[in-house]
Parts: sequence; C-alpha cells; structure tokens
Amino acid sequence: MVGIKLLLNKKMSIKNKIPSFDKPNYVYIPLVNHTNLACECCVKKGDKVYKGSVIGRRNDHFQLPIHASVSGTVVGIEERPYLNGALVKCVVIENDFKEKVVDNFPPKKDITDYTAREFVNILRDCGIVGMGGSGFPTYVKYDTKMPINTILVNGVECEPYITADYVLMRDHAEEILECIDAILEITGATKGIIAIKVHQPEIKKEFKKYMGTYPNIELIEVADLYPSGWEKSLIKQVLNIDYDKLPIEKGVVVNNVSTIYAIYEALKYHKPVMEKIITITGDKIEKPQNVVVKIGTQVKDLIDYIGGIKPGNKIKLIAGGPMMGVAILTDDLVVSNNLNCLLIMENQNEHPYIECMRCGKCVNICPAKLSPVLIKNNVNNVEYLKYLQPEKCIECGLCSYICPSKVDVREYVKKAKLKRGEKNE
Amino acid sequence: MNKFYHDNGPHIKSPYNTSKMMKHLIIALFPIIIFSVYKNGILPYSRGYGTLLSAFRPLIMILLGMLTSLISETLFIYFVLKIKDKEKLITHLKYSYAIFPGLFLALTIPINTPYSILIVGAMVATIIGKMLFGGFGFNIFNPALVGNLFIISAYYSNIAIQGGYLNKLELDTITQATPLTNLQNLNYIDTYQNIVTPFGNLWNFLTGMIPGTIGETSAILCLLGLIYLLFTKVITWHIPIIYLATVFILTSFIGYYHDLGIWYPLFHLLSGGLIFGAIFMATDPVTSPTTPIGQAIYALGLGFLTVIFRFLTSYPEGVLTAILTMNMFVFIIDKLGVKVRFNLKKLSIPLAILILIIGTTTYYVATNINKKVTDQNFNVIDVTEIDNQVIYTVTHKAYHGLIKAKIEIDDNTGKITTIDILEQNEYVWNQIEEHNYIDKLIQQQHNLDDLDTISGATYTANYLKQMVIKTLKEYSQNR
Amino acid sequence: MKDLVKGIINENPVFVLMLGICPTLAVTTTVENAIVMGLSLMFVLIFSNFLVSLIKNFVPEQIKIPTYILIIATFVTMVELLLKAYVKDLYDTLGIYIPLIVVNCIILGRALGFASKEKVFSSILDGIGFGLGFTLSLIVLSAMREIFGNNTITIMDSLTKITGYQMIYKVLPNNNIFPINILLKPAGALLSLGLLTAFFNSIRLRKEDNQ
Repeated sequence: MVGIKLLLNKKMSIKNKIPSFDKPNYVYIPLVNHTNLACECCVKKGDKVYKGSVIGRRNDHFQLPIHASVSGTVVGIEERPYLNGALVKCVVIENDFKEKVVDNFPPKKDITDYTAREFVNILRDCGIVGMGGSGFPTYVKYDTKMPINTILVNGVECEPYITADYVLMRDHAEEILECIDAILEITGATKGIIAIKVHQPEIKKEFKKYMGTYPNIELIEVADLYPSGWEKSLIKQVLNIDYDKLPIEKGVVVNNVSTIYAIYEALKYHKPVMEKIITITGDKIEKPQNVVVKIGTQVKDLIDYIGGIKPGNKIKLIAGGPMMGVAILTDDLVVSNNLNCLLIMENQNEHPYIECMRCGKCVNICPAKLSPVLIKNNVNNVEYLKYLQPEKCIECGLCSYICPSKVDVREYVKKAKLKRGEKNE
Repeated sequence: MNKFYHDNGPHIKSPYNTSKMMKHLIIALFPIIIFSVYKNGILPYSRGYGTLLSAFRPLIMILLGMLTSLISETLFIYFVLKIKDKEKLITHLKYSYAIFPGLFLALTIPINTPYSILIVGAMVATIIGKMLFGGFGFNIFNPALVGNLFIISAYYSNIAIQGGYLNKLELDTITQATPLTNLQNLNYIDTYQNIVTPFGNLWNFLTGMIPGTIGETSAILCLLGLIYLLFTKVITWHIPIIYLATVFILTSFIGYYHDLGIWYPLFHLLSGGLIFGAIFMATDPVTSPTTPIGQAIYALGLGFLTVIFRFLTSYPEGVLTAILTMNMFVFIIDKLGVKVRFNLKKLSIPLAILILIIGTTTYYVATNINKKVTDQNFNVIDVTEIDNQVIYTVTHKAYHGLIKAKIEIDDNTGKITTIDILEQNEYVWNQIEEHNYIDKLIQQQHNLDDLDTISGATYTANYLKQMVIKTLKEYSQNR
Repeated sequence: MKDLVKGIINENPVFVLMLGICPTLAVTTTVENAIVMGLSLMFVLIFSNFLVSLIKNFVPEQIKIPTYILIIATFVTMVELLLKAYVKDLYDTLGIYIPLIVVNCIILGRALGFASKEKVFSSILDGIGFGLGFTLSLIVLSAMREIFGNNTITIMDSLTKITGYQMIYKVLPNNNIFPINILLKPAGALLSLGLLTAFFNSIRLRKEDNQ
C-alpha cells in the first residue's frame, strides 16, 4: 500500500441538490482529445448545429468524433486555455436555447442487447472518453482480442477537494450498477468490482440497496491514502495482480465511474457526452458545490453563475485537484470532457530557498518506485537517466509535497522525462 | 477577464520542513549534553577537583565550537562567495545550518582538548569539510568527522599531555585508559574481569559513567534520542539498527570462537562512540545514501569496517574512520540502490559477494587474534657479557610507547644488580621515581608477583614488573 | 620575453599544469631541500633545452627520443655526482628523486615537446622560465609546510659545509596550535598543495575574468 494520508476537505462541497448551469450564451468546444491538441474541424462559420452534431474529429491512430453540446450557430474558431495550461483552438457556438437533438440510430430496448463489435462502435461514435481526468478514448480499451475477465470501476477519487464522483454515485447508484451488469454480459467478463474509499457510509448504503440483484458485482473498499486511485496501485490492492504496461494483459479493464455513467447514457439513449458534473470548491469561492455544466462552458460564466469569488491576495485558479492540477492564468478556461474540478484557493507555497539535503523522503514515498532526488541531480546526464527510468513517473506530486526543503522535485522529473523522450526520437 | 496567480507543482504542501527537523535534532541532543555537564564537570567539582569554571567545560566547548563554525562560515560567505548584502547573507546563513559541524565536533573530541585546538578544528571542519565542497547539501564527507580526524592526527600529543580522554576524577579513580584502549592493550581477548571490571559492570557502560568523549558515553540517552528521532520522522530506522546489529553479530561471532559470553558483544556495542556515531553521525542526510536498500548496504559496510578497524589496526576507536571511508562509496551505493528498487533480484549478487567478504574476514580476525603472543611486547635487543656480568638491553611495551632499559645480571649469583632506564614516554614517571619503584624491583626480584603496584601509576608499574620477570626468564632459559 | 614569463605564472608547472607532483610532494619538507631540488632541475632543464634545440635538425626521426633522453640523463648524472661529492647528507635526503629528474614530466614536456621544435634562444629562455617557476613554487609550498608543520625555516643546513652559514630560524613562538606535524607527512603535503592551488587559481581566474 503506497501513499500518504492527506487532509481531504471534501465536506465543504457535498450538497444535497446539484444545480445545472445549462443555459450558457456561448460554448467553446475544444478541438482536443487526449494527447492530440489539434483535431480537425468539420464545420465552418455560419453552420447550424444541433445538440450532439459532430463538429470535429480526431483522425490519427485513434478515430473519435467531437460533438456539440448545445444547439445553435457556429460563430467561428477562437483560442482558449485548456486544462493543461496550453492554448487550443475551440469551435464557438452561439446558443439558441433549443433542445433539438440529432438522432443517428434507433434506440434498443434492452441495453444488454449489443454484440461486442456494436458495443465498441457505439463507444466510439458517442465520443466516450475517460472522464476521470485522462481523456483517453474508451473504445480502445474494449477493442481488443485478449479476453476480458474483470471490469474494475474506479470510484476512489483520492485527490482532496474533489467530490464529483461521490455525488454521482450517491444519486445514480442504480444506473451505474445496471450499466456494469450490461458491460459484463456484452464483453463476457465474469466479475465486476466497484472500488470506493473507506469511511463513506452514504455511498455504501446506496449501493447496497441494489446490490442484491447483481450477484456478479462486488463492492470493495480501499485505504484512505493518496494515490490509491492510480491504476497500478488500485489493481494491486483490489485484485493483487501485477502487470507490465496495460492492465488488459491480465484481462482487467479499468474505468472511472463517471465514464460508466456516460456509457450508460450512450447505451440507453445514444447520447454523446455533452455535459458532466464538476466540483467547484476552495476556500476562496463563495458557495462551494457540484454543478452540472455543458462541455465548452467558459469558467468565467460558471463562476458568476454560482456566486463569485471572495476577495484575497494571490488567488489561484486550479484546473483539477490540488496535487495534480494546473494553475491557469486567466478565467476564460473552457470546460472539457476530462475536467472534474475547479479549485480556487490562495497561494500557500511561500517558502524560502533551501538546498536539497538528500534526505530520501521523496524516494521512500514515490508510488512508482523512482528516486526523484537522483533524477534531479542528473537531469543533464542522459546516460545515468537510462537507469533512473523517469518515464515511469505518473506526476502525482508526492515528491514535491513531502520535501522538507520545499524543492520543486516534480518539475525536474518532468524535465528529465522530456529529455528521455527527445533521445528516443 | 480576470488574471490569476500561477506556480508549478502541488498546490498543497506538507507542513514539515527542514528547520523543524534540525530543531528536533537539537532537542534529541539536550539530555546528552546535560548528562555530560554533570559527569565531566559537576561531579569532579563536587569531589574537589578543578574550579567552578572547569565544571562547565563541556558546555563551554560546545558553545565555542558552534560559535566558531558560525563565524568561519560567515567569513567564508562574505569574502569568498562575495555575498555582501546583509539580507541575503542572513538568509543564506539561516538555511545553511552552520552550527552543526561545530556542535558535533565538540561532542566527539576528548574533553581535555585545549580551546585553541578546538577553534582550529572547528574552522577546518567548516571550511574544508563543508564550504569548499559547495556548502550545505553538497559535501561528501561528514564535516564534524573531518575536523575530528584533523585534530586527532595533528594534535594528539598535545591533548594527551593534558590528560587525553579522561577527566580529572577518572584519572585518579578509575584507570588510565578508555575501555577500548584497555581492550587493545590486552590483545582483544581476555576475561570479564580484565576487560569490563576496571570500569565497573556493564550497567555503568549503559548509563555512561565511563571515560570517553563528551557526547558518546551515555548509551541509554542516545537510545532515547533514537526513539525520539524515529518518532518525529527525522531519520529512518535502516542505518542505526542495521549498523548496530552488524557490529553485534560480528563481535559475538569472534567472542563465541574464543568462548567468551554474551557480555563481549555487549561490551563492544556499549563502549566507544558506536551508539552515538550510529545514531547521530552516520544518519546525516547529506552524506548517506538516499535509497532504502542503499542505506542498508551502507550500514552493513559501516559495521564491518568498524569491527576491522577496531581489531586489526592500531587505532582503538573504529567508528570515525569507518564513517569517513564509507562516505566515499555513497555514490556507487546509490547506483546499486536505484537498480534494486525496480528489480529486487539484482541485489543477490552484490549481497552475496559482500557477505562472503565479511564472513571470511571475520573468520580470519577471530582465528588470528590470539596468535599475538604476549611475548611480542618484550624484545631483547642486545646481550653482552663483560667480566661476570650479563647485560641485557631490552624493550617492553608500556602505556605510551616502549620502555627501553639496560638490565645487568651478575652471573655468579643470577641476580639483577642494576636497572638503567634508557628511554620511556610514560606520563606518570614521576610517581615511579617518587616511590623508588626501580629499587623495589631490584630488592624483590625473586618475588615480583607479590609486589604491589603504585596507585595512579598502575599500568606503568605493571609493565616494569613484566619486563623484569621476562628478563629473568630469558636469562634462566639461556644459562 | 613571453617565453620567460609564461613558465612562472600562466603555465606554472606545479600549480597550473600539475606536472612533476611526485618530487614536489616528497622533498618539500624543508625549504633547503626545495631550493636545491629546484635549482638542480633548472640546471638540467636549461642545458638540455639548449643542446636538444641545437641538434634538433640533425637527428633522424626514428631515434629522436632516445637521443634526447640520453642528453637529459647526462646532465642529471652530472648533478647527481656533484651533490654526492659535496653535500652527502643532502644527497641522502633527496634520495631517489635526483635520478628521477630524468623522467620528470616537466623536463620531458619542455625538452621533447618544446625545444625540439623551437629556436635555440627561445628554448633557453623557456628553460629558465620553467625552472624558475618550478623553484619558486617549490619554495612557497615548502615554506608553508615547514612553517606550519615544524615551526622553523631551514634555508641552509646541509649546505653549511660549503657556504659556512647556517640559517635555521624559528618562526612562531611556542603555542598549542603550531606545529601541526601532519603537514610534514604525505597527507599534509596533498592538503597544502590543494589549498595553495585553489588560492592561486582563484587569483589567476579572477584576473582572466576581469580581462
């Protein structure tokens, strides 16, 4: 069990009602998917689109359509910040507030009535991506010849402050279980596991209400440590299996619980991903809560909708959680389908400069068994970097968190990763 | 459009920082310092030795060491690094933790070191041991130990003249040597009576009422410090525990080979600077490896080297040189530690080689120690015959070096007529002369086993006795 | 002129080029030994440079190196016999380091590397420069070692038989700190060489930065 217990601060954003910001004036759909930051655009200025129309396409080794989240007119293409801080091109749609949805194929009555091939196709055509932050196209995980024997649903949400998956599981437990059962039947897997954190009695109660009808699905609790939600650590903890590069080698497929809900909507109504639940929290936001937002909403409009920011000094707008999130410079950030939290807090990192004293705390705590301090000292020495294997870093940020001298260790490891990437090309 | 603040890295950080770690370290050292002031200062003063000022000598030495290293570091930063801006200078000093070389140096040198030598040592420790390598975080060798090595190798005779490791009370009551020097004099293997009893029993070793340097005598207070440091997560358990366990196992193997009981490895553990060095000096984060397996191998090497340096070299105390030697290998050990972290099987070959070396060397030490026959202490240099006198020129090992003497034996009676001491380096020779010990030796030459030694000059008197006995034996064997 | 000066400061053989460290560390226990060693090396260097530079055009390529070494060895033998005859105890102290001047890197570097390619006058100046640089460096090093390590300066002790003067001075009054007798041992030699090199390098590099 690797990891460390962090201060969670989750209670501040859990509310009973989840409002929906579903009438933005403009949406800016980013033409981005996973590592491809410049997907093709299929529409031009002046086109009329409906909810769910295809407006863009990823066309390299993976194929994935990008859908509009509102109906209206395409106004143009502008650049907006994305959640990794970079500027990307976005299709700007002016909302006409109609609810017309594009309709591609007739719905099936029973969501288990799909073959494996049809299942992969519908995952692709509805643009389902990993909604826990990675944005990886989900159809690729199921498009395999290797046998699948376990579906593992990741509801751990180990980073502090984020509660989007929590409220989803609390309010839609029945649909999630139905969907997992359908996937088990479609893919032929024998076991379904839902992983949640300990000490969450509300969710456990909700799941237990419906678990009786699903004998193949199990609820397992994992320890309250960060990063328990990391794929490798989770599979080791829940199933006690080690794998080399991908979990499909051992017949396991891992999906985030928000992705499972999106798959449910795709299988039942053929709805592509058009909206999602986001946690807006932090000590500098007036009313921390979870909100359902449309993909492409500008964060500026969203913050105004829920009440605004408290005044303060050196406020950070962080896209993501406090450990792995990126501080964005301006608030015209757009909501993409892999954003799950907006954290607005004051800067806590005012530290004097102390030299690294090679205490080894970062080495002890790294979940990927790296030695960050040695990587930091050898960033320019490409020969030695071969042994240190910085490409295994998952950028969880624990090394910088625990350093007593407050050195930015993670930045050095990221730099080393780039250097190794350059050498390999 | 509003603008926000930006920085890298995690936006929440652990509340633990380096200054807190150093504060915990100083807190862990407090009981040791207080005990040392009591034992080396207040206790002799209460029995009537020394003045009130000398009662606080340990405290003065510690403060002087800390002050000197602080001042030398300030001067170095001002003149060599050319940081003349006052704000920057103070910040640089604050986070460079300048007082630690001086503090640890004062805790590991003999108590009778003159103040001027302590100042020179602290300057060498800070400047050569720490600043010339690049400052805090870049030094390869433990700076306090560099200063300590300099003092011991350059000035030991100056210190020994003032009394060496013993404070004034011990000089008169207990004995004339530290426990490890005593062990070396007895050739490492002897009975409980001879090794431990001159200093009391093993309980004295645990509480610390034995001769030694300022910081290292009290084992139990050091162990309390270890528990405190582990609890506040300043150090990890790997280095101290594995180091002490290795020394314990190797010395118990040597003791078992010579049929000595469990007290022998316990004696080795509790004497000298071993426990203090294992807990405070070897775990210095800058000079020890960073990976956990690397730390384990480092501790294994340290234990092995300590045992070798204690048994096979002429230095009685092995911890200092062992730590300095292993500091050189930290870079290689880290390379091994990184490889092992990914794949535990890569440890098997280096570990096997290491255990093989340790095993064979310990076996060699155990079997060859007793071969040092005591006759090596006694040497007949010259034998001449003039008229009816046989004149033996002999040397015998003594407390400090050798005693060279010319012993004349009358061939008719077989008795020693004169003993001329040609060379000696003993500290207490005036006692021998005061008590006319040489005449007593000649008078009682056939009954020397019953001759008393002189209190305050026990060892020297003993060696003189041995010399006369062995000369007589040599004479009777060859006539 | 540049040939003369470069051997003293910019390409000082002991502190900059780090050549011939072995005799440097071994004989610098007293100032007198250092002076004699330095002067011997200077003598050999000047005359070897002169002769090598004279005959450089007449020696075939294949036997160049043995010929030059023969010349150097001749002069070293002259020095050795002189020292053995007139100052026997100094000869004993310097021991094997006099014959080793033959393969001293300074002489090989200058005679084989420089004098075999340059004109006669430049070679002589080069020899004088390097010899002076070596002698002065040795005097500085041995002064430091002897003052701090033995509390004396010995300028003429064994040479007393020739010159008639004896110059041994005690430098510092009796105190606890000096003498540090570790400086007379090999460990102290390396330590003082390192510290002096750092000191001179800092001055030299600062001058270069300023230019």
